[in-house]
Amino acid sequence: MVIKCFENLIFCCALICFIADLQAAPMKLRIGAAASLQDVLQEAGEAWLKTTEKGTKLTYNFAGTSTLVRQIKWGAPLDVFISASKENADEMIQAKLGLEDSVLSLASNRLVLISPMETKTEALSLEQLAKLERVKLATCDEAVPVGFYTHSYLRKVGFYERLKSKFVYIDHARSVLGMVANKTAAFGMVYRTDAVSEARRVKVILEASPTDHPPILYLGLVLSRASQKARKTATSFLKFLASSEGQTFFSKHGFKQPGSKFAYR
Amino acid sequence: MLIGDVLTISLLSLKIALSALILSLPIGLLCAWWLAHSKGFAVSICESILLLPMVLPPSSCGLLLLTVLSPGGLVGRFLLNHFGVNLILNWKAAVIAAAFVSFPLLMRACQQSFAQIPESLTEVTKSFGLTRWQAFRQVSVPLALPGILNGCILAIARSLGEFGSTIMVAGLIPGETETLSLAIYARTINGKDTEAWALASVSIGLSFILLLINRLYLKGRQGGLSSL
Repeated sequence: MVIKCFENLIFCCALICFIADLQAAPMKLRIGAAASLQDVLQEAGEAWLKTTEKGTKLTYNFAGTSTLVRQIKWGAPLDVFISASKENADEMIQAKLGLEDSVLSLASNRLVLISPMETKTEALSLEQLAKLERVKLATCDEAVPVGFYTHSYLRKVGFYERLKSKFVYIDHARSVLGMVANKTAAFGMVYRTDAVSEARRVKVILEASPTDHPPILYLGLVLSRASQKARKTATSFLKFLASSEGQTFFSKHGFKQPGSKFAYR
Repeated sequence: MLIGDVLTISLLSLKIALSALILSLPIGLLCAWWLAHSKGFAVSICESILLLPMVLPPSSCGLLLLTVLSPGGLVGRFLLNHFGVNLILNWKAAVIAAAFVSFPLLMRACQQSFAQIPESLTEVTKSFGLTRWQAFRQVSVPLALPGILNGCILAIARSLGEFGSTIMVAGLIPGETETLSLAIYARTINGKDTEAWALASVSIGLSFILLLINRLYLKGRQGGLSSL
């Protein structure tokens, strides 16, 4: 008898919670974004929340752009996708998973070679790096944007074959950064903004000329999976990021303006 | 992807798993023998510590190994400065990671096998005037051999499946540390599904064969020395 009462009580509680949840359900915008955007998006997101409807929430899934593409194809519940490469954004649109008219260019970046702060050299040419023995260069697979830019750059400047044996592969830009910051790897190629975010533990010893690799472009888009209401909120979030107010956050973290030359269309 | 790639990756996995076994077997045997013949609270504590890698999240093992072995860590710095040995981001690191996580399985199997050798036999070896080392080598190990072999199979299977700590301490270096589990992961997240499946089939096949050997073997020895 007591157990029966208890069961009913739990059931009622669960029901009340469920109904309460449904009624108060705030708008929750789910964002999948390139790992290199971690700091800037969280900060800009906070600012955007203040300007928007009360109760709106943001949840983030930061990962390598290529991982996000997989996840979205597998059906990950996301409303917004912010890619670190134009190719991946295009892939989403071609697969009809992203809304073509929602695409906005948000920022641009530079590619740098980093090493732990303790390293004695202040600057290093790729020629010198190629001559170093028993050092590892952390990078990503070419399917990951930062890996794609790194490999394209090394091919363009003619060092790919000579440096290939030093490569150690990891998930995304932030993991490369972590690997160099904790001194697991002696070198790594990341975005300039990543290096800036860990300025106390890593230093830039070479900056790739932007003409030597495809332009690094961050594109945001609304996913077709988003509900009508979420689409509206998502569009306003992306527009905020592209606005002059949103751009101040990007420049604060060292991102470059996307520039009209690189605009999506 | 070429069949050659699948073969290289599979052979590398086997090489790392076998090297890990060679590394952990002597230590595992000695620890197992000691644990099988000791009692008390302190022994239980030691046993729990030795078994820890079996239940720890592999990422904790990875962090632990990385902290100790990296050039910034105590052991790593010593080895690098005095012997010029680097145990991070190369195949040696993959071997250490695999040995670390498969060690408890090996030790456990050996320990149970040793424990089933009758006490009286130990007494007999003493009366023959054998030293402890001789008794271990000439009596205990041969008698416990089936259980030890069984432990080896399990340890190899575990090493083949090792992922978390390997990617942390050894990284993914094609041809050097790119084992089956790492290769499958990298290919899956990078969208190379066909290649991932080709490799996964090999890993499923290999693991199945190892487990089948283990099971058939146990069946063959019903209630024998080596029940795990």
